[in-house]
Amino acid sequence: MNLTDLKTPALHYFSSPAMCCANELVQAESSRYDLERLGCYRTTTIEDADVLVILGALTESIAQELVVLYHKMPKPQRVIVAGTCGCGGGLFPFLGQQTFVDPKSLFPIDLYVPGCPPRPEAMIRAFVDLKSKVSS
Amino acid sequence: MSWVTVFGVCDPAPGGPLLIEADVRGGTVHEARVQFGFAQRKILERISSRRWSDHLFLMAHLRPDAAPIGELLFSEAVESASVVDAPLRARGIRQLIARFSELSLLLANLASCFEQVGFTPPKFLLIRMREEILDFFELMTGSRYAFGFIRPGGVRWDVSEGFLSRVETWAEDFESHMELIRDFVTLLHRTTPGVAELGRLSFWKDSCTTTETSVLGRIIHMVECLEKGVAIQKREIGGLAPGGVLIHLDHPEGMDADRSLTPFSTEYLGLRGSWKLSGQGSSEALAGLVLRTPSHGAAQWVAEACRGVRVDQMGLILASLDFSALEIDQ
Repeated sequence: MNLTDLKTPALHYFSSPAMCCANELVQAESSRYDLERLGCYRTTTIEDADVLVILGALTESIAQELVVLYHKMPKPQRVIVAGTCGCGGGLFPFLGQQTFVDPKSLFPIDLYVPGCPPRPEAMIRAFVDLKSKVSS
Repeated sequence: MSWVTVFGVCDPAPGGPLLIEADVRGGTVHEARVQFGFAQRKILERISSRRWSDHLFLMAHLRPDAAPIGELLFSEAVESASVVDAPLRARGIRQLIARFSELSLLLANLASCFEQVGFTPPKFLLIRMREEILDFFELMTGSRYAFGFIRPGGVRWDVSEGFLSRVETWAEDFESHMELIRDFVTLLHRTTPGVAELGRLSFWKDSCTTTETSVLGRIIHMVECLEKGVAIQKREIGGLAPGGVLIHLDHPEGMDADRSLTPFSTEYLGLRGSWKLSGQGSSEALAGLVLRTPSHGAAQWVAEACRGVRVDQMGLILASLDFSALEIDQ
């Protein structure tokens, strides 16, 4: 990272919990990948979050809660959708057990991260891309 | 004859046993209905049970990295139905990956426990330790979560050269890490007596592996399990037999068409898988055939695949399923 990169603001992200993708995001925070060195920090307070990370398939009830959370975020809100379930529902629409809500219909999405689950490198890449998008 | 499904095998929500209900007419499957994850409905009933094996059962369906256990049981059920034994080396590799899966779960749960009491240094150490196990998964299977590695007839491929020596080194390093974890537990014990008692809801949410309701009690229990698991893993590395790792069951010549399915039951790490037949198919009468397998929800195509197939070839169908989602993960 050069000095120019250091001028970009830190990103505080709030992630919705889900099994596989959340595990990989936690692994991205571990000492091997060290997401924090890029100026990306997890927050548990939505009012402090710059980025909302959506993981897992959205059911109607989860979608309603996410919309509330989204509006509590300071503007401009940024949204990353990660994983096959988040991006397209994954297996859930085929099961017919739950109704999948497309996150695109709720709010504008900045980045989609494919993968089942996305690797920590993919998560890091998403944050790097978002940072460059924010700074530009 | 081969069906390849593209869904992630490890999705925790639809995971769990696969229930096939088939209407059989004249020995042929006329209509098949497939139900996924019906075990999930039993989860709340089971959580009240106090047996370790029951909790492992729950974990196996709730945690994504417990996928090998489901694959293992499904494969054994199909092998039993097909009257085929997996090669000895394949069985050893299966045990190896299932044990790694168990260790990975314990590390994740332990990290979660430390996080609950706000003790983050051991949490990050445990996550780092877990990363090494994910590396082993990747070395063995090519992916970190969605394995599709264990399959009826054996395992997809053999372990690479130098893998076992690497595992041995890991097991030795693990012991030194465990000393550090024990120090952390002692520190936690001295500084936080009586804190962090959990209600049943938290207990459930963490898919806890013990009936201990205090975080410290759970941590101690899981540390003990980790130590036992690594010791067993060390022993199993030495016992890996030479030879092939896969018998192909997904070709018609690989299976005797006249062979009929027989009831089957297996157990691994206290987790039971069963394969039952209920109802008898007569020549023309409609009969209900129920196959219960400890499989994943990935077997989405089973209903279509089974239609028009002779009952005694159902094992062939199930053996041909490929749970892989490797290309997605990579």
